Amino acid sequence: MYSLSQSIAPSTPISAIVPTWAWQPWSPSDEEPWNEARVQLMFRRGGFGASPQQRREALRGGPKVTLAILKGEDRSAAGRRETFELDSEAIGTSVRTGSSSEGLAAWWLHRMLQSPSPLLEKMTLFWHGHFATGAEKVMDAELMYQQNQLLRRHALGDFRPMVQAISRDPAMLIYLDSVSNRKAHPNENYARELMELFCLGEGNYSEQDVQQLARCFTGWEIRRKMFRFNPYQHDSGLKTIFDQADIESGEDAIDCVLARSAMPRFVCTKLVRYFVCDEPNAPDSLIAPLADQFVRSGYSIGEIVDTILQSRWMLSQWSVGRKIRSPVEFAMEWMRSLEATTNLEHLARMLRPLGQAVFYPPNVKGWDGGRAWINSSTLIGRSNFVVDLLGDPNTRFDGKSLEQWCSDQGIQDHKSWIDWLNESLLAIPLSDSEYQPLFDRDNEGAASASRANALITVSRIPKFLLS
Amino acid sequence: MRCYCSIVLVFAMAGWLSSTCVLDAQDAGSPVEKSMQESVENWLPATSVIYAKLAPADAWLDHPFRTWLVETEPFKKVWRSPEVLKARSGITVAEFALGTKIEVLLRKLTAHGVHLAFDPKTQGVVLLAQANDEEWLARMAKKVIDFARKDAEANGRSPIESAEYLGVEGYKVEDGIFAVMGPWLMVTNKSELAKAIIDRKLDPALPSMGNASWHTKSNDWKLDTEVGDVARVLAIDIDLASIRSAMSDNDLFQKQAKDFGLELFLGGILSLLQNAPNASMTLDMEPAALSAELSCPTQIEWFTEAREYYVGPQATGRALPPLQIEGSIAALSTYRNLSEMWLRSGDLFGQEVNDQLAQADSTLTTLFSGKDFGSDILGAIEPELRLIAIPQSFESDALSPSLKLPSFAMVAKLRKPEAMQREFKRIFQSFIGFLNVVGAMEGQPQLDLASETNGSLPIYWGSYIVDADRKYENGLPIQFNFSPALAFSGDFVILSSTADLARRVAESNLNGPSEAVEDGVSNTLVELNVQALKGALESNENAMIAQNMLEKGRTRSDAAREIETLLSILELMGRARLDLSFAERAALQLRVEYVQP
Repeated sequence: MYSLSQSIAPSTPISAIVPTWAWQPWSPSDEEPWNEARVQLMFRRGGFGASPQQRREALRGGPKVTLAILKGEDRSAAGRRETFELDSEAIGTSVRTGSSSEGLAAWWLHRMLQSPSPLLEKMTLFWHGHFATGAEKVMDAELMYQQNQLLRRHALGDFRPMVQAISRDPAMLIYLDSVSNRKAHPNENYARELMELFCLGEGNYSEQDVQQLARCFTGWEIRRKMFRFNPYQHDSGLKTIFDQADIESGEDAIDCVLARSAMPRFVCTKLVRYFVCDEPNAPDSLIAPLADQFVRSGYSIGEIVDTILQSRWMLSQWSVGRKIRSPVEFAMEWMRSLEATTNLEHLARMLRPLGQAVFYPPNVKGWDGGRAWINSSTLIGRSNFVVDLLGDPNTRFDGKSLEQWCSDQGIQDHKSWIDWLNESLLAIPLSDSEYQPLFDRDNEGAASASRANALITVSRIPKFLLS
Repeated sequence: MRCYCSIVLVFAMAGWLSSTCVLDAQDAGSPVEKSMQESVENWLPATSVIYAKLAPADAWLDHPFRTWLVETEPFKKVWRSPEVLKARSGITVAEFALGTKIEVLLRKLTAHGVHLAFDPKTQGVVLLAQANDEEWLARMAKKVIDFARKDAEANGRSPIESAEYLGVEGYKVEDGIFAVMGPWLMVTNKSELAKAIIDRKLDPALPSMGNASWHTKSNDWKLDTEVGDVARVLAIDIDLASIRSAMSDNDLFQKQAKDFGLELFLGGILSLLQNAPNASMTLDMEPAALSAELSCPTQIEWFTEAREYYVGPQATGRALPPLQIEGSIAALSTYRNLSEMWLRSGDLFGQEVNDQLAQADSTLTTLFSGKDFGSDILGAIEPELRLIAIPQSFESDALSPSLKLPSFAMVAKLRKPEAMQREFKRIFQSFIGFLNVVGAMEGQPQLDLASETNGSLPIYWGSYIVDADRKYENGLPIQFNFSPALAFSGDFVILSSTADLARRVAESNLNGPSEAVEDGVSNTLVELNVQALKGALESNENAMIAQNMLEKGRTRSDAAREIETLLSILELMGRARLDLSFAERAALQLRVEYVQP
């Protein structure tokens, strides 16, 4: 198994990590070579795993090429993008015709699995959890689709236009009751969540700010599935938010919220948690350089994500195994690593018992993530997921059987298969006590059964939960 | 090696299974052959419940159907596909191992037909085939066994077991057991069944299927039918009574249906399944068609009073001739007294369905302005119902829905035309209003109500309005497939999904040359134009490809290839007809014509 830099020990407390060191771009050295482990770490965090071919390319090319692959800016992606977008559009049109949110989930899973720009899908998933909107309340697949495309358009763009756009998004207006936000009876839901969950975090606003902000959004309605400003329901008086007394419109109010110093810290903290470590929360001192960069760049999300993914901290041994794979990451990484395809509608259904049905976040806070992914029920769900997937006759591996796929990868015997799984699917290598039983248990029977059994067993090992 | 051995065995077995059938007339006609057939039936245990005979391979390999099929482009395309090429290489290996062409092997092995049976007591399936050359069969069997032994040895699997029973040597290869008895080859999955057959072969006095009453009574299904170019390739005899008693918990055998659709479509057939002692099935190859028939004896008293809605009083309910409109995809004509069915639901269905129907009845009665849905609305029409579906054409791509559905219409005769025309018109107007209110709440397009009188044929319809303020980036919504219409023609009422089809149906001769199919006994008739269906599917090819990608996780090119193959197969077929009748012997007949080059 490959190893990463020991420049900061895995046991180093997060408070001891030096900010100026953390966000410097990582560069290879004799002591810290660009190796398979770093390739995989970058693909896991910046995407949903990678095929053996992509990993070989990334290993040859270094971190910049790897980032280009994740962003779909490598040479091979250019040819695939057009075909992929045509495929995705065909599926999207089909599921929207059927008005099924479950079909919509299948459409998005297709994008996560096949997209030549996996980082874009990973970030769309991040914003879906951040600006959480549930299909069970919106009850309109078309609106959920439109919101998802909006998140994708802005996922790596600038934060300001994104917040302005999501505030007018029909699905969001329905989900947070803005449609009933009238001059006579302001509804505070959206105003509160804009500050607490989307931009600033708890403790960075007052109840009066919420009330004033809600007045700014009065008259923001939807008509025939589109945003409409109704001047007769809008409170056009001046409002005072954060001591700024000249605010009239909703747009001005959003800019006022975005200008708060808490905003860059809040957003960057969430991004660090998403890409680097679930816990503990990074101290403000560690976030500060990123937040400064965020402000300097005009709130460019893409710049911050680039910095994080290429940073010394993220590519250090310290960050390995610091995250728990979300159910979507668990499924997608498993499938992309093995170049697997399957019935996408069934796949979408299978993710529900694991605790992450896309388009159905549990509440406006989105998914808690981290340790919350794991309980006795979801653990059994993850185990059954792999068994179900392998038992589905539609599951193919680059269009072949698992046995044939292994053979094409040069995996000829049980040991080489176990070693491949150890190196390709696990963030932390198996210990001897975990490695040895795989031979006792799975060395019997036909090759096809043995391959599948070993895959199931490895997927059940607790370490497989870690990213 | 292992793979090749499996291919040899599977191929030999699949060959017999697919090759089929029964008795060519010359062989079957001879007394010697007759006695052989009878003896095979006498070898099978009396507990057997399904018995099938397949014709010799000669009957279908030399049939014009096969000659035509292999020359068709779709067949050639499939023949050259990677999947088939892989199987063909396996066949080549099998031929090499056996030292003979598979086609020759099939012809020799099935020279006198193939017999298949299922015995639930042993859970055994058996295949018996009589070769025309005893020595040749012994040589082939030896080659297969030798090959299987070497293969098992090379792959470290358990050796091929052999055992002798009353002088017959049997071999166990994986899950199959096979034995050679003179010119006869026996393949089965259960040794108990093999022993039972050997016992009866040696002692004809033992009870057997040959003298079981269900089988002797059903001997009117002829195994030796060959008229001109028509070859009977498969005949199956089923002991329905035994199956019924073994599966008494199955929904099909319950007095009250648990599913509304099941009762509506299969109610009369369920009565037969619940009473008939036996059933038969045959498959015939004609020069230009394949036809299959499923039949069983029938008695009027088997149809309870509650099922009169399905078969009519004294089982005299008859379908009218199906509607004939040029270019139609499908036409269905049936006898169903829907009012009677609705009002007898307490007898026909279980509690759960009845609860749902009571709820639906209340809603529908409100929707139909206080008229009782079962007696006033459904009771206003005669039980002879006709439906038709035709493809739609749209003015331009910009004005096309993203999913293009065929238009369809239902025609029924009104019991009191003058009074009911006015009622139906009023109800239709309310219905359009209801759709507009519900649609407006959900942001859906709105219907514009219109009417015209074409001669003496009044037509009322609603058409969806394109919203000029709205962008339809992916084509118009699915609603634009519809312009719901109501029309009257003489005593007939026409309910159609589009105004255009309503006009065409109204202008057609609904009375026809006579009101019933002359001398017809059909309860239900379905006519399908497969080429028109293919055209309708082709206009939705992109949606089908996308659905295939979703369901199978395939790439677009792979999904497109599969859809293309499906459409190619449809290209081979012309018209199909399904006919259900309850005469002296109830029968469900399916006939599919194939397209001649």
